[in-house]
Amino acid sequence: MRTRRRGERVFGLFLLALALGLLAHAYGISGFSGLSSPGAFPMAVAAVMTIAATVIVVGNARAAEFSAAAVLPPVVTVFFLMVLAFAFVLDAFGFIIAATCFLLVAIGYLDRHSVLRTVATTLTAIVVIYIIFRLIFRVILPEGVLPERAWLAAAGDWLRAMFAGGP
Amino acid sequence: MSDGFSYFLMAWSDPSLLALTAVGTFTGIYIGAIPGLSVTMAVSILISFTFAWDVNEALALMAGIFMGGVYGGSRTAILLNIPGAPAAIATAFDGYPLAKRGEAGTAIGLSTVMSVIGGFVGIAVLALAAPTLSEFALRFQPRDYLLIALLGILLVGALSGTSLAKGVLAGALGLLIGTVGLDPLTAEERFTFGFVDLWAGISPIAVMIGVFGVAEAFIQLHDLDKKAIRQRVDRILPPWKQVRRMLPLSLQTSSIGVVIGALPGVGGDIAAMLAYDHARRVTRKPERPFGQGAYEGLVAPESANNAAVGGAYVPMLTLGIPGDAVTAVIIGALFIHGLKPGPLLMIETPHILWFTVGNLCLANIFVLIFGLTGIRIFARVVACPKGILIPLIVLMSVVGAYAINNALSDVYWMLAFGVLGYFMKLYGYPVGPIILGVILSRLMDENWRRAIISEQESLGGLLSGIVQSPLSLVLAGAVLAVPIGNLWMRSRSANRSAESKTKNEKGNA
Repeated sequence: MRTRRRGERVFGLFLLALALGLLAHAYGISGFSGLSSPGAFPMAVAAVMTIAATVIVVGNARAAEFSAAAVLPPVVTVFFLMVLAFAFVLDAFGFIIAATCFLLVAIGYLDRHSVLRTVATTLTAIVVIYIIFRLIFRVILPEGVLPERAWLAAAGDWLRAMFAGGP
Repeated sequence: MSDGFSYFLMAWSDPSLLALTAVGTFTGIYIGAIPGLSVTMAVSILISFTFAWDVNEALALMAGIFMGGVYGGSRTAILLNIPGAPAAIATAFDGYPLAKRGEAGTAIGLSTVMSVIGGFVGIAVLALAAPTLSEFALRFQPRDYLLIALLGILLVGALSGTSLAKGVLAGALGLLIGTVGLDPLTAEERFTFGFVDLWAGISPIAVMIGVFGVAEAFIQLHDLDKKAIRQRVDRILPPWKQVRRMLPLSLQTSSIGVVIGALPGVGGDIAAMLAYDHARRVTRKPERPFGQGAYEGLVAPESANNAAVGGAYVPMLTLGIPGDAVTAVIIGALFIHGLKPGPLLMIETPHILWFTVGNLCLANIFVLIFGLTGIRIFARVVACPKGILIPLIVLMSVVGAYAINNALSDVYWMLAFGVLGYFMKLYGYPVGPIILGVILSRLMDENWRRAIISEQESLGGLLSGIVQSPLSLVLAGAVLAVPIGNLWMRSRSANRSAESKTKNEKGNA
């Protein structure tokens, strides 16, 4: 007998509702106007998805054994909220500050070792990631509060002046 | 011919390409080894980062990570019984018992050599088959593309995850996600709900990073306290006699690997399982029983999963249809750099094939070099505590998603799909078909429309066209065979378990 996990039936019903919603919306694109209409493919796929979802819901209802293993342990919810907060403040605070705060809080929460280890790991990671992604890959990361570009420009000028001022 | 040869050597002679392949392979081995990091995740994140690069450099890095990653999963499978990558699940069956007997070094050495052999078989097939196949592919009609894409999604859905229905649902969901935006042929809004932002659709990269990166990171939170056990590792290089003895099996399983890799949608993980199964059936007198440290049980999956890499490139380059999840992501990279994977690729830009072949060979050699060295440092890095690893994965996922278009909305989509992917993985829904669906959605939609329009909107005409063309007939047969075969096998195993149940009850009575 198939084992069912906590919340699996609800999730199955959610997917069925999603499939039905998508099917209804797909119908709204162009109805049954023709096999090559823009809505034809989405409708066919949504119909298949609905059938599959129904089969799953029926199968879930039949499965007898139930596993009480936690599906959403608190650590997952808390961590998710941290990630969400990080995404919210990314633009406003800029990458450096937001990422540093995120890593400090997240590693501190998940790793549970000394504060020193958390801070050291965070700083190393931020420096390495910054060098690799901002300087080598040249990915533009949100600037936010710190005047990153001004600093980098100033650093570049300084380096050039250093080497130009030599022999 | 000499043109092709010069492209073959490009990765070997250009210092930056050489370095990138080496870095890619080396990083790939670690990415493949560390459970929680995956090659697909890494390549997804890398697409947006390498956007501004020269296409050859981006491809070189990704090829290295691919080759290295598929091999790397075997390391932790052997040392810790934790496969770092799905392709290494079968490796743990006999690899870990070997390590427990104190033969971890031999196991690692043997798996490295066998992976490299498998890799070369895969590359050889790519080099030989791709030019022929792409000429053949010019004869593919729209309905054939439709059928082969459908076959890929069905295969992935049927072979991974716990039920065909779940796989089909995931694939359908992916296809629908791919239709979001303005219809390419008529510019009608599909699933945009009035948001202009959605006219360009949802970025497949955001979906990929969410479903493979973020979701996996959240799943790993369940095992936060799993501790790694250290192993003793020495005597790495396998004796030549042993390699020679294993060679026939390795070549057989490499062939299995290439074919499976070439099938759209299915890749190294399934190839490794089928190879292990094959080895169990053909090895008559293993030194030790399978499951307790049989060398054959180690050789088979390792050759197969590396051979599948070369195999996966075949349909990707010739038909524009990914051979597995990683090549699905690499197709995205090719599009971003302005290339068109498909039959036209060989005509317009043939150097990509020879460059890839040369590049993969180089990466394979690096696998041999890096695989046989630096194992002690490796053991320490791989034991990185999850509490540190998981936030780092998420951070890089967020950066990767943001870097696609410098838009925070991609980050939110990634998180949304991360949540969806998390619950799907938890409840046994395969997530591979989602990505495949997203990538193949436009190809299927356009080919469906082309096929049905060319038959004057008559479904009967389309079906008779399929029956009349031998190629289409074979493909259609394969498409039907997947669900039928799947249901038949399930009813057989259900009967068997019912039989054994009644036998047990009778025995107890």
